[in-house]
Amino acid sequence: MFSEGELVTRSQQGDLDAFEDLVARYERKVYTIAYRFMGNHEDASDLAQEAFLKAYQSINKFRGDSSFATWISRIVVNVCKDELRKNKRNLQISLDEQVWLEEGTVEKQVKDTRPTPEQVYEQNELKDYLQSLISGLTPEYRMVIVLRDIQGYSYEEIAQILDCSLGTVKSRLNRARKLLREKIISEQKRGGWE
Amino acid sequence: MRECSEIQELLSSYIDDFLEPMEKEKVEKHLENCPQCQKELAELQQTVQMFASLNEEELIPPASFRRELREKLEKAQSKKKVGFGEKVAGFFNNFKLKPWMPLAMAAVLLIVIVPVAMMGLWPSGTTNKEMATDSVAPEIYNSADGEAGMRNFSITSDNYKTFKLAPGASDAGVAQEEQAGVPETVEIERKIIKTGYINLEVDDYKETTGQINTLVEEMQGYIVNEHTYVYDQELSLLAGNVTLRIPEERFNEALNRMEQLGTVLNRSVNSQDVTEEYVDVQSRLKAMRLKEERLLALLGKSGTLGDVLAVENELAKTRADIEALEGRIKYLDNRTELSTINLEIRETLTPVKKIKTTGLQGVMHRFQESFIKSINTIIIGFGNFIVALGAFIPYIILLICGIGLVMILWRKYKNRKS
Repeated sequence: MFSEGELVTRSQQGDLDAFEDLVARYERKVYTIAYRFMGNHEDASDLAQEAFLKAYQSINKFRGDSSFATWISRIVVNVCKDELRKNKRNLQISLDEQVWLEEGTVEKQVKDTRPTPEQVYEQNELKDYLQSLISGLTPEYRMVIVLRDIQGYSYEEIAQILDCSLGTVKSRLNRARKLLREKIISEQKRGGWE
Repeated sequence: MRECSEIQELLSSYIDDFLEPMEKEKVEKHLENCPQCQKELAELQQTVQMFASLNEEELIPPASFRRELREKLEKAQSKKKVGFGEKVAGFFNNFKLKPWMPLAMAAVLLIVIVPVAMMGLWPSGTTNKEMATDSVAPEIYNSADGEAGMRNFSITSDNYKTFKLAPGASDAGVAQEEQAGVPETVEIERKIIKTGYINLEVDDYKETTGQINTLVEEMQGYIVNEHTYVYDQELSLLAGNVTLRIPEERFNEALNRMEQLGTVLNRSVNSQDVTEEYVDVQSRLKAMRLKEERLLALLGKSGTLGDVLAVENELAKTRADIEALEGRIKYLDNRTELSTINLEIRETLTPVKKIKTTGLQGVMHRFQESFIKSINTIIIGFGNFIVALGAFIPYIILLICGIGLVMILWRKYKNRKS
């Protein structure tokens, strides 16, 4: 077994096997972070791979100012953030605009992608349930919840990652937590779980 | 009731202990005798804890994960070896003219040209003064000059003090250090966290917040938090609080200008000097970095497994310390560069406005004045326009070059398409 520092140095010299050793050490951590953001295994797998790829390409920029774990976490967070922003742009469609068809205009119909209550009941596991709540949030709220409440970043770090002001972080976090709490409580009242 | 909604806005930050001391005190005071907010807090805390529990779980990536990653890595590695020349060629081959590109170029040119044109066309300060002595009422221009002065970001001396620290107390010590080539004084900028609080009573809440918004924008600060509520249902009077961050050097100016927006009921300013802490943290950070270097050097030497582990442990601890110190410095920087102002605004019943006849005094005279002023402005503007035209010519040449480049790229793009 080599130490982490040695593995990093070897990876910097282009040793792919050494880098794979690092991957083996951190793949779970990275994959879990990606899963928390994306809420499904396909995207999580893709983005975790992308994060490692990025890490490998810029490993020369890693100078040991922080631990490798911190560094790679930051990369996967950024990759997920970019992906969520991209998705948001692609997916932002007006829900009630009129669609012109040959037969005339109709209201646009949109599939409800949120899990139905039945699906939620099936997910007996509390953790799956919590994950489904996170996935139901809009990207802005999802990011602050994952960064703060799951990953435990400080407000300053979140503001830096998301490139926004501390006030924005505070208010988004406040609103996101309220939303989650309301969802949990309404679910409890319906006797959904426990 | 209104206090509850106000408090509930703060609960999330309260859980993370990220409130200003004043806000924190307010929340705790309120919580003592408000069961509803206590319940809200408990529920929020429970929610936060629930999600924190997700942190403990680690998921295992699918079986194909590492194999796929290896393929991607190998691909990336072979790409890495491509030379610089090929890269440049690759960039141009992959270059696609997107519809936004000419627009972006136009925007860039516009950004460059417009300020220059404005500078050319705007009547400059000296012409203002000339006109003032010429024929127009002087007080108008006095106020205009005052504004121009503010735009120049004059930094008042009491806000930007620096002081000197002499490391050697005795003269001999200083002399010795001078010989050794060490600078004998270190200049340190004073770090002060300033917080202001104003309680205002105004005639029109919305108008006041609008004024505050423009004020903040002008001062290059930002609004952290804004909260409005109706505090008198019958008369539908509004109240609210606003938290602002203003660049430190304009703090006093901002306070004074905000005071003029209404009747001040309460005003307090609080300054906290953190220079000592700042210097302290900086020197500790330096010491930690040195320690880290030494540990790294130690790690390089071979030793027993136990030794290596001990050094590794120490290194991890040192790095954690370094990160914490860096965070503290960043926090202090942010807090001192931007001062915080808490504004509490309350709308009061507007007194009935009286009809004033004094507004008509000297109308003819003022009419004449403004007429002459406009004519003069037009003449000066025309002169400036001709001057600006001269200044434009180099930009026009640039513009033509830019358009030419776009045309060439466009043709290239079309050729490839066909």
